[in-house]
Amino acid sequence: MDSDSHWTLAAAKQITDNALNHSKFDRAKKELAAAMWAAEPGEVIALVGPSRVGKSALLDLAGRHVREIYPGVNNPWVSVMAANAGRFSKFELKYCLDSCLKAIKHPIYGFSDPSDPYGNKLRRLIEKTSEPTLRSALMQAMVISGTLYLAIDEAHHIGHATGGNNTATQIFDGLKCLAAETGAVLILVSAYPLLKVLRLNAHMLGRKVTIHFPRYRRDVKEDCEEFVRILRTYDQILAGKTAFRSLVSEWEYLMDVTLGCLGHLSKILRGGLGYCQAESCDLLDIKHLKRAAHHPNDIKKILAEIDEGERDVKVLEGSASVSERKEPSEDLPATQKPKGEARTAPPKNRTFRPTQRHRKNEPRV
Amino acid sequence: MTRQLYKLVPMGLGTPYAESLDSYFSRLAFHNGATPGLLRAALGVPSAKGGGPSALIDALAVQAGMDAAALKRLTLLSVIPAVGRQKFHTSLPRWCGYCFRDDISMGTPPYRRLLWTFIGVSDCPEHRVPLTDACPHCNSVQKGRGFRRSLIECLACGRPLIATSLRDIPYASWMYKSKDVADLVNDISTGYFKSAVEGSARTFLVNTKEMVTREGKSILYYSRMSRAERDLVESSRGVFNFEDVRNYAKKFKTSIANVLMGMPPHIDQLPSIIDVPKKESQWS
Repeated sequence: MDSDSHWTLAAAKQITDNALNHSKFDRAKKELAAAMWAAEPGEVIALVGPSRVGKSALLDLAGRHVREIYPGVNNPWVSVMAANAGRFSKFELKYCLDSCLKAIKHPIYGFSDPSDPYGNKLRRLIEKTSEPTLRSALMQAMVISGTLYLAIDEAHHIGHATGGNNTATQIFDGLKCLAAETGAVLILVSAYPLLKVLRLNAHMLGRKVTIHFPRYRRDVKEDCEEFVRILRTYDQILAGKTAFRSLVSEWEYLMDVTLGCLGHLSKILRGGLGYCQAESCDLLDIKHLKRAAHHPNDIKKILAEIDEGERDVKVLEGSASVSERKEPSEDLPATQKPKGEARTAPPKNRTFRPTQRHRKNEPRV
Repeated sequence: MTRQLYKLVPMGLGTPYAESLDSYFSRLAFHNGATPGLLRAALGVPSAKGGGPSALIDALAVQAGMDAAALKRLTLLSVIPAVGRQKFHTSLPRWCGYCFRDDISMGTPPYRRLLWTFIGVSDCPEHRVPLTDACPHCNSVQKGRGFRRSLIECLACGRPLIATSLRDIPYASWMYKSKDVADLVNDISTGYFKSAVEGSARTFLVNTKEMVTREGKSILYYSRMSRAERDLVESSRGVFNFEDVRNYAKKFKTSIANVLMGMPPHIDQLPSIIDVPKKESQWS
């Protein structure tokens, strides 16, 4: 590795480590803190937002904060990721419980034995043990170690359980009951698809508080200003190492390709630095950033999901209209539109053309 | 790196109703969300037959960082060296359904007492009822050390092993035949009686005799000893069983723990068995 490449590594590390305090993050942080403070055992806090917006970072921060304010409690905060660890990469509750037991450092189901470095014994034990046994072990462990918050990151993976949304609804119900029985608050962190699953369970809706962690939108002036401020911070890290004027000068392009999500921005910057290093360039060029950016088709897909999610959130918040897309029924998300509506009311400008079927029914002369 | 098991305090420690190690281990396993068999496997103690209480205590002390001395107070390990290999404790669990009922009504977890494991103890000292080893509902004997989800669930039918009827308790503590054993359990659980060595009952007899002889007196009991018994005392080969030890404690009006530790009673405590006019006994 030549000496020139060092600055890219150092810059990439700085970008990774740089915990930005920005307005959307601060607002979501305050809302989450308020919801956590007000929540009673058995209640559910759903933190939703587009992917790579900083939800997991916020969750980590909340975890650190909870551990600080409850120093005498063993495990006030248990945070796991709902991984698709089952067969054919399906979600299975058993493996989620296993993760929880490991996170809580259960003496039997979550103990990493030094004599078993690869964890084979533990894996066999978990496979042999039934799901209800693991659940009761987790409940006991949560009660004993004084768990107050059970956080599940990437909770939308639960929708990938065998059986689809019905099973997912049952799993969410079970998790909610587990939290209620152990006196904990359930925090679900996910991208927007979670809202669709949660909406299926009316009982859950009554116990749920939704916190929206939005992206920076191009059509909102304040968001653009804040985004530029953030780019200025990154400009300080890359001072004098860019072939173009500054990141701020490219803010429109960067806002489009990152969709206003800072996780994407960080990824593009790090990727660009990587390409810069691979090509042994002295300066970071805009072409490097363009290579690191997502493909336009991918961006379209991501944007479509975000749009749909934002519409769902608007519905939840009781907003009357959505600015970006004009749909025939705006108060309902696309997935809940009555299917028959389109058939009963065809577009007005459509003219009737007899098809072969119609011609068959015509009386022959 | 030790396994940080969720801690559980043994019940009745320091009283005659101290918990047995089996009961404690089962409760500990359930407290940690496992069955006793699973916890044994996790600790590397193969089975109830393969690893006795000492193996279990060692595993708990080494792997879970628990206090071995405190755990030893839940067992009869300290008695065993003095009484040889004669069996004086039961392998089948026995219990008093009224004690379980009391535990539940007082809001404490039901547990099995160390006292109930002695063969010589047939009645509950508190409720004056015979100990039982069969379910009051299905009458099945609770074989093996395995337990269901709780200590008071029948292994066969799953119903609780608590007494099905209420019973008036007669106030007659002097009638209780096994008070000496209850005192021994109390001495073990308080830590007064730590351990006996082999032949400590013989040491007790010899020490007592020497003490009485020093005072210029003799003991009636010695003069009336049978030949076989005298041989047992004089030779160093014979082994005393638990019933012998219990008899000596009764005759010399001392505790079983004192006999097992070889501690002679104070001479003032032995008025009834001392020959006041000194006689030349056969033994002396």
